[in-house]
Amino acid sequence: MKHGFLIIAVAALAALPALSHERLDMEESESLSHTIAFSHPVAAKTVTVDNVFGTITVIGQAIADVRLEGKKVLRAESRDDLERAKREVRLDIGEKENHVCILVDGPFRCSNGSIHWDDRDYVVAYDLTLQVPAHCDLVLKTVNDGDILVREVSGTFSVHNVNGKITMERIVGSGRARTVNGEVRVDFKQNPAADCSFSTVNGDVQAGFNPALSADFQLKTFNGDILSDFEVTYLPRRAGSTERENGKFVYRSDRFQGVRIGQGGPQIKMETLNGDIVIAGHGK
Amino acid sequence: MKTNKRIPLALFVAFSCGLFVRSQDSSTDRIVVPLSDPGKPLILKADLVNGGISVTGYDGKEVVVESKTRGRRIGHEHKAKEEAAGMKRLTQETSGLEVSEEHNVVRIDTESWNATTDLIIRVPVAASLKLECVNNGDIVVDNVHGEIEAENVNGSITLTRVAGSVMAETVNGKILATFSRVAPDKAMSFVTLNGDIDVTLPADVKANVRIKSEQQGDVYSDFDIQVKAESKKTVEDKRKEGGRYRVSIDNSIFGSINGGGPEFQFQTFNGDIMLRKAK
Repeated sequence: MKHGFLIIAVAALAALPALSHERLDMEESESLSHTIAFSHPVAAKTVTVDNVFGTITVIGQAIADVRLEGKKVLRAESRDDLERAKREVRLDIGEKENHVCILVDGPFRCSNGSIHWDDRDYVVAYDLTLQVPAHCDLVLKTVNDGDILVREVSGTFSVHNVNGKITMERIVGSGRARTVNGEVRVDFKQNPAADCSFSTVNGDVQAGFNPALSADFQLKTFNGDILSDFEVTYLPRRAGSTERENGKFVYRSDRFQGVRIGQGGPQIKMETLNGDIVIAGHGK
Repeated sequence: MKTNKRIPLALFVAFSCGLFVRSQDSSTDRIVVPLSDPGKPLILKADLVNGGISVTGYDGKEVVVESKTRGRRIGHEHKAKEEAAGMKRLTQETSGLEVSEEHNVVRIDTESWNATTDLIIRVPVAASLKLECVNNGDIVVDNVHGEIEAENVNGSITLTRVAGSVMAETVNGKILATFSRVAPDKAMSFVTLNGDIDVTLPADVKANVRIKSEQQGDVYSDFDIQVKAESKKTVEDKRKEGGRYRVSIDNSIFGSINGGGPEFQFQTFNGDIMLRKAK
């Protein structure tokens, strides 16, 4: 029953920004274009995109710098609010020690980098498209009104969304992808060699692998099926957690279903509350 | 040659059984629960929506809880379209077992509404139980001394070598209870709708009994029951308020065993009632 409340809470959270858009009649947009160079073109590279409203698209290319194309859309209740949005919200672009950082900054940004969105009279959305070197670590974040798409990139990744889906195509590497309202779909060009974690609350979680897959999976869905193209063997249940709080003993079993594909290997964690979990095989 | 051919088959069977056992292991969850006060009786509370509960008293100081899912998710019996497209659907064998203990009260919770789960529990003999089931399972208790409350809907209740008092109620299923001793002053109740009631009591038990089998069921007793002559008549007169005058007669058998004592109720709608004297 407590899960039911969680679903309602998440749905309510998702509905808030959608409501606030309706009264924002003033709109202005501009396009932006930047090229950012790395200080050490042959060394390991990292690209961080920290967005709040809007999409992020990242495409790996045979290039040594980062090429950013984007569209900024400002929506506000009045002309004054629009001018205030222009003053308050900006895109910070920087490079330091081979780490390109693109960050949407504004009064909603807390000192620790997290976002506190109280009811403002404007919304500034950035739809950002980046071409990045094919070997590149990624840190991507957005919150509202935007899907995240990554294609043909090799490296570690940490991808976070809240109200939108995450799609990763022809990926080499490992990492985690997490959203709340939207599906997560990750397709590997080469099977991951290190642990991965893919999760959402409302939506399917799908990962695609090559036929020669060897990995251990930890899987959990509350409302949905777990489907696999691969033969699996079920792993023994992992130990649950026990604690004693103010004299009360509490044991909670591990809720994940463990399965092994091939000979086992890195741990791939896939989790959703409302949706299916799909382990897909290329050419199957 | 014939015998030689059988060996690989035997090996294959042994191998498959091994695999089966392994997959069973993944569906089992087990936890040993220490009690706050191991010398004192405990209270155990467990309820399931799908599955059965078995509780056995043993010579130990801890409660051992094992949950086993039957590997099938409720409401997913149909073939999914993805399965038809060649994908395999994996079972989630997690029971979602949660066990808490506070002041010798042990509570057991599962996600049995989502996956049929059986609970296999071992408790110190001195224990009171509150067990509830709904579908796909029976309640089985053996060698427990205390107050036992067992409630089922679509399943039976079987209590053997119990001592103390029992409240047992189900809808579709029989009730069987064998007492080694009864609490001297506790009322008891055995109620089902469709099923027999079979209760074995110590020879010297003292009780006032109320026995009722509504449809064609028979009542058997090893005990000499001093049957009271008249059945209980309830008169409801609402004529002054423009209502009805209603007489209802409870056609239960009222009587006493060994001079009478606390009230024991035995009631079924479709089924026989047997009162046995322990030998």
